[in-house]
Amino acid sequence: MTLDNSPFLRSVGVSGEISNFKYHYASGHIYFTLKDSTSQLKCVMFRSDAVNLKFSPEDGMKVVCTGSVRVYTAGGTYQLYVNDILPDGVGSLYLAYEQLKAKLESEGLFDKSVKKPIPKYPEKIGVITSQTGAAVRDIINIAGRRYPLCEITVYPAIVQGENAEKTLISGLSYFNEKEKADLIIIGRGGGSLEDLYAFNSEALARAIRKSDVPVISAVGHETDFTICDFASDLRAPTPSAAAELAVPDSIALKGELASDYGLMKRALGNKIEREKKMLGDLSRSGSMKSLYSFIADKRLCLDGLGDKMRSEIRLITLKKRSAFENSASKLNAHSPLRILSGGYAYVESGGKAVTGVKDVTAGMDIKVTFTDGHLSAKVTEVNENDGN
Amino acid sequence: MTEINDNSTYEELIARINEIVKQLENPESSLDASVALFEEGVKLIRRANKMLEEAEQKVKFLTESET
Repeated sequence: MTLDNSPFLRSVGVSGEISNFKYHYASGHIYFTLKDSTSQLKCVMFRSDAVNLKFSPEDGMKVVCTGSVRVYTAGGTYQLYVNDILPDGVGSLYLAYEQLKAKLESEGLFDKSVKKPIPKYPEKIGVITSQTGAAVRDIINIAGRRYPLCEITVYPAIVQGENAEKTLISGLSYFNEKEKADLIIIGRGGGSLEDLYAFNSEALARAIRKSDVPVISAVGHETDFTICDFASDLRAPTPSAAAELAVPDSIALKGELASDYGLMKRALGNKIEREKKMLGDLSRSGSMKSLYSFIADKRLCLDGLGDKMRSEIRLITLKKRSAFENSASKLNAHSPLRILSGGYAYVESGGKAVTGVKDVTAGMDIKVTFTDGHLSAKVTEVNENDGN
Repeated sequence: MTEINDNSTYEELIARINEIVKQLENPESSLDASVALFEEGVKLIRRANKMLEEAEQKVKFLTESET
């Protein structure tokens, strides 16, 4: 019977202090001894498990190892084949962290789709952190150097210990309700898992997601992620990095302004060139030429019309004059005065022309007109022609 | 269109400058209008530059009682 068959030895947890820690570079396996004040146990962790470790084990570290006890037959020794190593003491914290992370993740609290965009030009940044730490100094220095246009308000939070969670959450509500910020940076400098406990709080994660103001998480721990990091709209590895992510760099902004100026100048220049070219084309082009010749034609035509009109008028006048002269001579030919001049006279009686003897009776007064005057006479006798 | 006044923020200036660049690049806009836009744009760029150069960082530390 071998030890391998014992169900009791297949899944065991052993706590102790790491010693003789060896990392075998070629294979990636880890070898160490777990010891306490009275005993020790040889341990091996194969590469396939070792790569999943969230921290680097070191000599002197108190840990809890889980795995199975088996015999290494070639050496005649029994040893612990380790699947996982948890730092002792915080082991339970760690477990809680993993469970909370899984829970919130499954709720969709960390989804990309729920993340709010970070404003490009924040005017007011609320910083929730300790007022005395390096974190706040780094944020103020870097944000001020990059983009002095933004105003920074620091909410004095407690970043570890009993009241930390509460003050971090009230900081969020302060910058949402009392003094609305465009952007919130929440964080602290690095620390152990215990130190970061408040940043692994479920209530904080929910408060971050509830915030109308976008939140950048800046917990100074480059390798490990806190729940706060996952829940935030943007995660920065350190407070300094958070400041860089929060505001634009005015040197780059000046560059953008210069390039905008260049774009404007080029666009206007192009427009002027185009306009010039169009005018040039127009004046050289057939259409402009034909416009000129059209005008010239019109002018010629007008000139001709004028001449024609003048001669026309002259002609008409001449014609009219001769027609008048003609009519006048015709009129003259038929003038009664002309007939009278040949010894004839014009006879009237009572204002009416006397056209024959039938118009008069003996004793009537008549008027006889000649070209040179008239006479009054009395009819003495009326003799009608025979046959009338 | 972004309205610009004496209290306009940097963001608003940039938004207006971007509008101007876009309109200038539009072949439809007339030469007269473009010259006016260009002049407006140059003024806004100067103003934005000045804002960046002359800004003095404001930092406020809240006290316990203010929170």
